[in-house]
Amino acid sequence: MTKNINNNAQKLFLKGSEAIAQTVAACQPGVVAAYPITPQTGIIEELVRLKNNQQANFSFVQTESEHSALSAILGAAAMGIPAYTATSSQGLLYMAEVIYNVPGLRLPLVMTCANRSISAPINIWNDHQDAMAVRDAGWIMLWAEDIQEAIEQHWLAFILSQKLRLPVMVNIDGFRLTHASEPDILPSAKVIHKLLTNKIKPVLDVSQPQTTGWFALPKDYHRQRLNLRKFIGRSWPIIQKTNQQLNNLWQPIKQELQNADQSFPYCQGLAVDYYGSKYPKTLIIAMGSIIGELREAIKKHRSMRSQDIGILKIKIYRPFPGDEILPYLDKASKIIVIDRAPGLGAQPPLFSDIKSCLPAGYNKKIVSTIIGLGGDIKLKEINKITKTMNKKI
Amino acid sequence: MLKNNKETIKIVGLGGQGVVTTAALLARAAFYQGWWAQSMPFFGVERNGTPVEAYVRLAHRPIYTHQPIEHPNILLINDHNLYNPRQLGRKLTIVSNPDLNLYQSKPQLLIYDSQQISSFIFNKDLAIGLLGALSACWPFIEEKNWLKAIKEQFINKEVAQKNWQAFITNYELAAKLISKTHD
Repeated sequence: MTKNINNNAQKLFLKGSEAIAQTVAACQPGVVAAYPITPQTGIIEELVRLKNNQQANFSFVQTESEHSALSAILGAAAMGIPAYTATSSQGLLYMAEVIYNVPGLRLPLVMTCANRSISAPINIWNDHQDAMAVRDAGWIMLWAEDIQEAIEQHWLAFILSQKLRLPVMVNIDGFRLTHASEPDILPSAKVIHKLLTNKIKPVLDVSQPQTTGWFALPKDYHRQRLNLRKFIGRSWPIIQKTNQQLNNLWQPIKQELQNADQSFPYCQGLAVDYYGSKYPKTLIIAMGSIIGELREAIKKHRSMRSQDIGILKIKIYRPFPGDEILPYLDKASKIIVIDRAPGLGAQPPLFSDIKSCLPAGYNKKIVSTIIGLGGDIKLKEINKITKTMNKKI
Repeated sequence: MLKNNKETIKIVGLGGQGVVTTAALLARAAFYQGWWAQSMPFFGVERNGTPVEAYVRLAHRPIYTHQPIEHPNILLINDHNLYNPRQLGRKLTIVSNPDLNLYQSKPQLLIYDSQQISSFIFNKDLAIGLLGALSACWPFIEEKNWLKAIKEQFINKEVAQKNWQAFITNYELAAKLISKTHD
């Protein structure tokens, strides 16, 4: 610990997985259940270390599989207890059955997905294929660019999950963020609990045994699933209010400890952040830590800077922020969408999402590019993107 | 102060020599110096005895990239079998070699025996000693910050003490070798 102002926050030099674990511990979940899988393991290791040092107080269940891990915390949430798990890749796919159950039961949970590619062939490095496989399951999906953002998104995730009674998945790029060490500003438990109540209305009671998520006939099932869809689509006002409350409380505290970097034009939105010139000719849309590479590339290469490039970072991927993205699409004449999942047999997921929100008569061409499957992001590819742009369109 | 406002450092060694810990320690010391620091291991499957790399980026402003470093300014090599004279750090290269003592200033290259000190203190060849030699060649991080980083990194007091001893002994050995060459 180096700096500490009014015990509200502290600036530490931490590994990504440690920073996330400490934030989760400060959010004070009652139950944590997990099964180890690279690159998520560090988060759970740090959580257990905090518990053993009596710096955190939760029940830890090491289950025999990811399916059981999510099932265990589903049960905890049904009893009204804030609960947390973390996983990656094949683990997330193994959870898939329960992943669909949680939003159907309207239970609040938080899960970290340390994004990793999926088999076959086996690969342990980072891309977004795992999370994309369950993107339409009814979870709120947040995507972090760096460790600091991941910390804030975990805090937001706990509040949102409890306000919306929906599960929230925080996606962080495996290895690139989980294994990197950086200076991080961590909010104290005192600050976190100014917004986070951890009060969840239980749906189960041990003294009055009953079941939940019971059999539904087609008519009822159809209605329930459509209601869930409608609710998620209309959850933006709650997300916006929560995000604003968090920013109002957190930004002044963070700025006291932050090395301000004013050199980058920057526009912060609710679900998207925009970096770059006011009237960009080319707009690059992406998610996750690749945004950092794009920002560095634009700073470094004058040729890229002179082309008036803008970068649009998507922070909240589900529900999809189409309305917030649309004004940016109108500004630029060329649009590149970077996906880190291939979209086998169809268009890549982010690209098709962007296309789905375009209004009728939209005539600008949008180019899709897939980068860094299996972890290897080549900076040359990023530099080439803008150069080849003119040829492609 | 950092020249050009940034520095890239790569540490190379064998699995089990504490290469990743050494990188984290260097970044932590730079963090206490007031810089923005980032350290990360070579991503992936690491096994005992196989080549391992770790990277450190230092700057006066936040670093956004999370890429491995291919051509570093400073290269630290803890096993002389991994040393390739055609692949040096742009500014400085330090190599641990039990059979050779060499210092040249352009490009700056220091080859010396850090293994002997490490084996004496830890009974094992560890990469931490190279930071002492780095401090002798590249004196931008103050001694108090090195000490603070070591104390913070190693919670066990005895382990911290041994690491500090290895750091100082390597520093003195490297400084002696450099001054002798200049004479």
